[in-house]
Amino acid sequence: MPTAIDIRNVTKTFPGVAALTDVSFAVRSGEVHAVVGENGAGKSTLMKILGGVYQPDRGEIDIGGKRAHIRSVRDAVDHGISVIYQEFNLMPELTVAENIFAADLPTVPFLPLVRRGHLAERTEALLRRLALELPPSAYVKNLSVSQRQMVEIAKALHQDSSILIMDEPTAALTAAEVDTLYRIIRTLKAAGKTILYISHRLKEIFDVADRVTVLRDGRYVGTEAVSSITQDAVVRMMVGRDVQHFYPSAASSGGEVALEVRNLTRRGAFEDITFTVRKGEVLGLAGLMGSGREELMKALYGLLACDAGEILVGGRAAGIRSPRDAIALGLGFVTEDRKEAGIFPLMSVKENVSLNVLRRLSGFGGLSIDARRERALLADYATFLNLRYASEDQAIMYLSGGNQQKIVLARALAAECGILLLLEPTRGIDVGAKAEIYHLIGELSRKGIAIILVSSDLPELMSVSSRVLVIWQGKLTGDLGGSDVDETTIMQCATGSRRFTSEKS
Amino acid sequence: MLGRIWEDYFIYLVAAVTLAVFGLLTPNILSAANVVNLLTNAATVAIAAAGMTFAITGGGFDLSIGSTLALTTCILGKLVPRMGVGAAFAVALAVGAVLGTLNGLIITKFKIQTFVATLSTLIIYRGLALIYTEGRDATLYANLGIKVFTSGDIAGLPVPVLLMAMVFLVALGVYRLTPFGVRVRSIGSNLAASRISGIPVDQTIIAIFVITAVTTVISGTLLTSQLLTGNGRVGQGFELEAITATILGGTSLTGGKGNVLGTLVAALLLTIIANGLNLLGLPDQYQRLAKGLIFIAALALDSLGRALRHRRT
Repeated sequence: MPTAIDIRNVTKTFPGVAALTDVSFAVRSGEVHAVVGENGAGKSTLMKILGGVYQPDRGEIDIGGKRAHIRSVRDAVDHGISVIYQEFNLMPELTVAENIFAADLPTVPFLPLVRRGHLAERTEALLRRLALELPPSAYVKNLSVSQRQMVEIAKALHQDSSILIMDEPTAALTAAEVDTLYRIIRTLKAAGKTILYISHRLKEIFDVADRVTVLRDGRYVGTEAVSSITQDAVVRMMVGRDVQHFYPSAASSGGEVALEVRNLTRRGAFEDITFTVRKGEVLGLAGLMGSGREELMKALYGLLACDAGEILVGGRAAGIRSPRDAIALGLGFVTEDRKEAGIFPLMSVKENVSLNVLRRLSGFGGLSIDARRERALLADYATFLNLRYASEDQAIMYLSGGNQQKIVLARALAAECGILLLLEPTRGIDVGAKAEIYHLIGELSRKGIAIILVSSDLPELMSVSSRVLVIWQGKLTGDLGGSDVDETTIMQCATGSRRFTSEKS
Repeated sequence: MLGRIWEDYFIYLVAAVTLAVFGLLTPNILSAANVVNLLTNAATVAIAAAGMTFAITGGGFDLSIGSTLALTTCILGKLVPRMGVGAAFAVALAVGAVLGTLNGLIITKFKIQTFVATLSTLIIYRGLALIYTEGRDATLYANLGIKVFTSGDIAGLPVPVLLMAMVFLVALGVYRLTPFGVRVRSIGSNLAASRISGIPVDQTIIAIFVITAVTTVISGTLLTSQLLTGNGRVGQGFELEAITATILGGTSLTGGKGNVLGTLVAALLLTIIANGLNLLGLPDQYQRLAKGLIFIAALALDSLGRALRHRRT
């Protein structure tokens, strides 16, 4: 099979960090080639070099057997390379068609006027060819996450590129949407495209890739055929050691009731939700995107108003109207949108932890912050959470996703919460950090903290939680405990085809 | 859908209600002579606001236009006596294009935010205007040819109104029909994504600032024709009037979505308010108070409309 991309001795250094050191491997034409590695392994840097965003310091890249100098996005496109980046790169205020053709809109000959009709036709033809169902004139801001993903794919392929690079394409997709993506990838492969597929989720790589290359700390570790290697072996290559007990044993079913929700309703989001969480219990909340699970969590934390029902904390009606109320009652919240609503990117590691408890750390009657106590607070959590940072005054934006997430968690914990609401706590972080977060959830539940966990990663949700609630179209359709927790039952409840309640033990 | 209609046409409702209220209070406001007067007065700020609509849709601001306006009056004040109205106007347009390019280059090459970059050139350009005129008035009482820009008419239609109509027709066409219009919305909507998509981001930004400067030169010419004087101190706060008209007209302050016709209606609305308060005989100091309150009321109504659709989030 001919070689589509030949990467030889590529090195890229950023001030103070070697992102890639002497990386070499080849991608065969027409294969789906996965690239895996923990955060900071250099995957994204490599993709940006191929996509023309960065230039390598040293090394050579051949595309289709010929030496390629990729100096700009335009160069990459000329070499037949298209990249779908990890963060969505769409313009929300533009239509689907405008997004796809943004850089080369069809115009009337000799006049700078957009040919709207032609644009619509070309978009429709492209979408048909890729078997994507999308409305060309819809504004991207009104599309669902998976539809946006499809727009990205169409945009990447509108110039008929022969090489497609996908950086974490499933990070925000639900299981059903991932299947759609697999179907698209198979269509593209059948059409002879070469695909470079980056993901943290090993299962996907074994579902969709032909071969897998592992990077670690900016260096090449190895390339293996997916058919001749196990997931455990790939994890060993990624972390350079054995990861034991990836998931902790499920937590206990807990003690006294910490939080009780009675008939909680927010019109258009969820209705008549009733459940309890006990101290030390990890309650999983499953449901498809748009099922109302995020809204329910936000309502508990006072971010969304409810129309009916009540929330009881420690047996007393809570009357939570804002996050301040929730914090005062001992609720902690870790958002699913770390970048937008979790971290304060320019503030220091220390400040990101102490922000909620400044009053407790203040001296001089609230006029100053006791720096010694602030440092001590951070030091406590740094050990407990195994945080890694260069300096406590370093801006949090320079840390890896896993470390950022642990700091967000530390902030919630610093407020000494008794009830912790976690939304997608492992989204977009690497395998090693995931294992640590699972371990932490176990630790916290043993300390008696009640935890409600929302996760789109079903294996994660099932193994970390002691009980799983399922929500479908805003209604509770499942309450699964003990041996009843299995993937099939959860999916049946999540799609509304079944209702299931475990016997109370 | 309903939301988009509300956002796009809200300003028309406000303008209609305001006109009706003033119409009842001071029937004179709707007299033919006053309507022409209104449109003529609105033209100065409206034309520059048409340019500002592109800057804000593109995710930026041009704060330097008040100074560009002053410099335009100075150039015309000094050059009209020497080379005549046409040639002096051409020179002013060319200088405007240079100043706009300069703004664009400072923003794109030094990677400075538009707000700060144009805040600096606001000071520099006014400095240039004062240096050029040595801080004195350049009067045009002997060169009344320039009056064509305010009191001239073509087939009974006043020149400033025609100019305003032309500028807005062109602006609307550029915004809605050209790839440039899509690029402006694109970089205002997501700058990083635009870059990665291969959109010529820097050229687009430079072009935007040429547009704001050139439209301001046209506004400055109308102003010179009214004042018959070039003066380096005029137009302080002019940029805020243009920004107010743009935002009130429905252009998103965060970029990505503009409303060219909304800007025109809002500029007219601002003039109606000023004119109406004048006709009511309200002293200047109270007019300021009233204007501010009317803006807050309009913006509050607008976000109330939005809130009704989205509820608390």
